[in-house]
Amino acid sequence: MKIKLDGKTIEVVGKKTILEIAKEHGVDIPFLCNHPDICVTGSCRICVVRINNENRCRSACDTVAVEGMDIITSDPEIEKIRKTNLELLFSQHREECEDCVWNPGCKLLKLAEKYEVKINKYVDRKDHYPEIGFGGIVEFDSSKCIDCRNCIEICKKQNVSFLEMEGKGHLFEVVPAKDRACVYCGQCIIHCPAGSFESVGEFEGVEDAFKGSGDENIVFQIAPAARVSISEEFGLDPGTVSTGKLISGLKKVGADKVFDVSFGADFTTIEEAKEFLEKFKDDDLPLFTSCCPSWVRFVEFYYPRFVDNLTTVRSPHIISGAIIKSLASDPEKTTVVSVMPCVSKKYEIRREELKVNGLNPVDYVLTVREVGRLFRNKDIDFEKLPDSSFDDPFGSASGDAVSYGVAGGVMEAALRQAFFMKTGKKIKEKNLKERSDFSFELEGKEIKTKKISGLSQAVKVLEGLKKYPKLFDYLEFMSCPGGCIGGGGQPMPTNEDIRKKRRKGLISTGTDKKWKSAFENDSVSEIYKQLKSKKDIFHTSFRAERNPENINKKWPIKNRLKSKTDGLKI
Amino acid sequence: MILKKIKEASLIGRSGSRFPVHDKWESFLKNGGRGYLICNAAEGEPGAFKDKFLLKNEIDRVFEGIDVVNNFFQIEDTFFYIKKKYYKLFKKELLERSKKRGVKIKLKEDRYVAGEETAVISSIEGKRADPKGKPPYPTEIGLWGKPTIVHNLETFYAISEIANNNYNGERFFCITGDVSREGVFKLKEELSIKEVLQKTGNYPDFEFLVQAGGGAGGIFISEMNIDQPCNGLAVIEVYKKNDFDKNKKMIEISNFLMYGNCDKCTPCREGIYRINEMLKKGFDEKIFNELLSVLEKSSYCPLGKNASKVFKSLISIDEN
Repeated sequence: MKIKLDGKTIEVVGKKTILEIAKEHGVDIPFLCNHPDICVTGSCRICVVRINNENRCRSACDTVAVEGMDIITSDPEIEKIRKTNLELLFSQHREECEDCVWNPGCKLLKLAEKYEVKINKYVDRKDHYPEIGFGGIVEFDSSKCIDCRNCIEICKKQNVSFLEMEGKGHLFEVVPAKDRACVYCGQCIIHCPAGSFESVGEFEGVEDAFKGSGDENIVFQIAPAARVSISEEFGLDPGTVSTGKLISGLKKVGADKVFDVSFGADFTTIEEAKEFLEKFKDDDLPLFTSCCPSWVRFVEFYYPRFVDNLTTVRSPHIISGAIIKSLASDPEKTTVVSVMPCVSKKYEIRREELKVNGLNPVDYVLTVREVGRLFRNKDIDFEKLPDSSFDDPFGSASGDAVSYGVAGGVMEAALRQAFFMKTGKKIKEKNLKERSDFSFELEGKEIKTKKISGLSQAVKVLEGLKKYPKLFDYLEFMSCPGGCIGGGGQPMPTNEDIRKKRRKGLISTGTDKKWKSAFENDSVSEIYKQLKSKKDIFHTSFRAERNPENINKKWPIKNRLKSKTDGLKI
Repeated sequence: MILKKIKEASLIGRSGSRFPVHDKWESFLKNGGRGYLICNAAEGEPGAFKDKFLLKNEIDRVFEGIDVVNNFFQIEDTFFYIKKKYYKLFKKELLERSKKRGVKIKLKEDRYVAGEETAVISSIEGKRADPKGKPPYPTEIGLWGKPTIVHNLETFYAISEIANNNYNGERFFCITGDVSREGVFKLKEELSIKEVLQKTGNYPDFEFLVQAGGGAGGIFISEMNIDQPCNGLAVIEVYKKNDFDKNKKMIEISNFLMYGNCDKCTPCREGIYRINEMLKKGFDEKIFNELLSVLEKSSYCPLGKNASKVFKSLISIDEN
């Protein structure tokens, strides 16, 4: 099919929107609300273009090109429309640019500059709008919201539908639903073009870990997915591996030791493989992974009947945190900080049942974005940092452990481990990585496995399991699309393109490891010997919550009216 | 065959958007000729009450029209989308006729935009009654993804007339405002506003202006320009010129639209809000024109585009 784009005839194959075609051909059509993860809302009206010389403009994001279409992406009237619509968007968006998840790199500000927008042309309509806290984990600043509804769309796609529209006077606005619970996946944060969502402590809390009396031993541990995505915080290409620089940077800001969460992952793998084999023996499968706290919360509240299917093995950073403290000379004076691609991990560390000897295994969670901010606050020139290695004795993890950061990695690791434990042989790798539904034979029985990332997929599988409980034997669930590489604490923007690059980068860091799988890792058995109370460290419990009223009791939704001084006008 | 007759009669849909009925039907056929049928009795336009009139007096004719379409196409399901107030008024008559035919009734959300055809489809699908972008048109991808014909209630009346060979190009006009004989009148479609007022005995003996096309979507026309037909919805509201307060009217309309829109797109949500604000707090012509321009050229659905036309006609009413 042939169309004309700004006077140039081009060939288009397949069904594509004008915005997609323009992007492919290097033609810049500005837009705000469009995100390839969600169905087009078409609300911002910035991507307007002129088609076939029509009087009225159309939005490029939701107009599919057809044969012979003549598209003009810019003329004086189009530019004027974009400018006016931008001014209107700014009229409802309270600028708080210093403390914004999009800073630096805010698209609204870039467009304002390009179109010479007077951002204060109108009095901010939402000046008095509250900040709404979801369980002290995620915050929604409604005074910044530009009503594009991306958050509602992604929340709906995640099958959580915690965010919804409510009619207030003449307006429909985004509000938290009263009878639903947020699972803290943080997808709203990375899909909001206006920076209305953030995780709690995203700005004011990044240095909290260093605010003790000064004699603490501050230990950082880095999640697999963080070592790649941190690069994007400093303008490097997505997929660039920056493990060494990240370690150096953390040391520079005051970390005494920097460990690899992956060593905890090897323990998760071994313990989970044991549990799988027990359940296999007792014919009590399927088993679900549980290292994604949003997934756990999702099951506890929305599918409580499956709570007993969750593996009781703790997530890697909780295990490694507990090991670090157990082996520390003074656990009370040891502060453990996890660097995570995830917002939900902030929630996980507050779960009471994870305490070991009265201590939290992990004291703070910093998202990748927050580490970026911390480094920028301290004027650290990231690119010039030297490459350092993880500290001993927990510096050695298997390649499988690093793969925890990509969808499928957790279960693949546990399967290799379980198969080895049962048979003393290595599992046949064919199709294990490629297929989302991998089957193999164990003692003459077929074991059916499934990997799911994104809660939209999870619901389909759970509904299937309701009808056919033996549909699968072992399932990995990750709440975020693509697994942790697409987590809610990752740099912005995050989209499928970027997730793919992060995945590739992360997998590359696992291949040069000395050991591929947990059972090959010698240092693991060493640590096992040193630990006394293993049960406390490796297992946890879950609770089904069937009463919607109790859902938000412990993690309440709170409104806070902002004072004038909260906002930092530019 | 009925399609040929409709084409010969050049029947225009009665929703006000002036879409030829045979075009819809041909597009439906082109897309397989199988799908859903919706009778739209949302009637959310201020000053319009012809659907109510037809439900009260001609409900059998309306259902005959529905039968004609059902007989001609392979209609899987027919939906009767109706404003709650009307449903309460005509529940008995409606249920009696719809049950017999398996026609499903769906109550309209109380919002102006909920009467727009793509919003109607969203609503029947169980979602919020928000409009969708066109194309694809409902006859291509409509209710639950299937080709769907959405007609105004009055269109079914006209279809029944055509099927019975007694259609003579008449439609129902609602006359309201400062008139002596408010009501619904059946007259030739092409009549000018002036003729409609004259023939119905409503031509004022004072200086006046009219709003033609509906209380929110109709344009304002001065007395000297009423020699034109009534475009859009056949609603004519007459105002005494001496009592007419332009600013008050604009506030009233912008208020109505602010409450009646879906708040989805920037120009409609924020633009109409700012127009309303400046009418109350201080008018700025330059900004006003900027806002009208984005409403006209870049709003998501016809509501915003139409709002701009209405405001424009009102602001320039003294000039023409």
